[in-house]
Amino acid sequence: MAIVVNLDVMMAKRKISLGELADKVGITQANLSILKTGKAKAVRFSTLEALCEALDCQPSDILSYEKGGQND
Amino acid sequence: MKTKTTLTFKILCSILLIASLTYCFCYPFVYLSNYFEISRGHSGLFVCTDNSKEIIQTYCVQLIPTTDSTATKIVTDTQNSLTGEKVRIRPTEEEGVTIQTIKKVSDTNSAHLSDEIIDIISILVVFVLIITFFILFIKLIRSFSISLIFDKTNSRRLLWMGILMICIGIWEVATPIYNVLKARSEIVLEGYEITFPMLHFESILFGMGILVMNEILRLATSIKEDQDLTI
Repeated sequence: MAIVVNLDVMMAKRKISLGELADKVGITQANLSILKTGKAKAVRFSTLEALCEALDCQPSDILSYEKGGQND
Repeated sequence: MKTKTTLTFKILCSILLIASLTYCFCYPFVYLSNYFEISRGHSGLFVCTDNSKEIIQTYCVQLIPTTDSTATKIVTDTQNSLTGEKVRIRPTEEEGVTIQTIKKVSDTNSAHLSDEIIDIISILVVFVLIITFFILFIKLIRSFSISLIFDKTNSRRLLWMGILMICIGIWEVATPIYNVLKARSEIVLEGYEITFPMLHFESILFGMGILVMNEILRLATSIKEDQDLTI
């Protein structure tokens, strides 16, 4: 997909673990792992909002667009 | 991933499963026994000859009087204008009539035997198709009853069920057509025209319906996958 999820970068910057973030955001670790590995097909605004709040960042810090990326 | 289903849906699936299991075990045998009973001439509508030196060839066709269009009764015994052989005409349980020619064993033994072999092979192939269809149907219903609906395997099963049903339908249509064409080439009846009996396209339409359902299930599975991967 041309949209790249940089969640792992932000998590490393904030020094937060997957379980901790999952607890803060209110989603399961499995779902967060799907999002982190880029397997997710879509992200709800509510999830994005919770992620931005937990990581204290902007949506653009988590998501970015790469030209020429593989489309599903 | 399993889908939440209602109790009514589960009960319906269970009833369907029991009914299809019963049908699957009984129907193919009833189908086969009916076929052999008819081909041996045991049915009340067919006449069987006692003379072992004669062969009866039966064709299920529709006869239309060409001379007197208002005639309601069809003669029961007549002659084949082509060969001069005796021909028997009997009504069938459904629409149309059966016409039977009586031939000497020595004349037609090998041809008759090959016809019989082709008949038996085609019946066995259809028998296998019906069994496979029911097995797939039972697997599908079992899968539904454990709430596994939007699954790629189910979509594949439906696709094969549709293809099998269309094959069965084609066989059901092709058999009477072949019968009439064969009868036309071998029998000419004075005052009658041999035509096609009512052809049944229900199985083909049913098969197409299953294929449409498969397409809907395939789309639904794809939507469900997207939904499951929405975080």
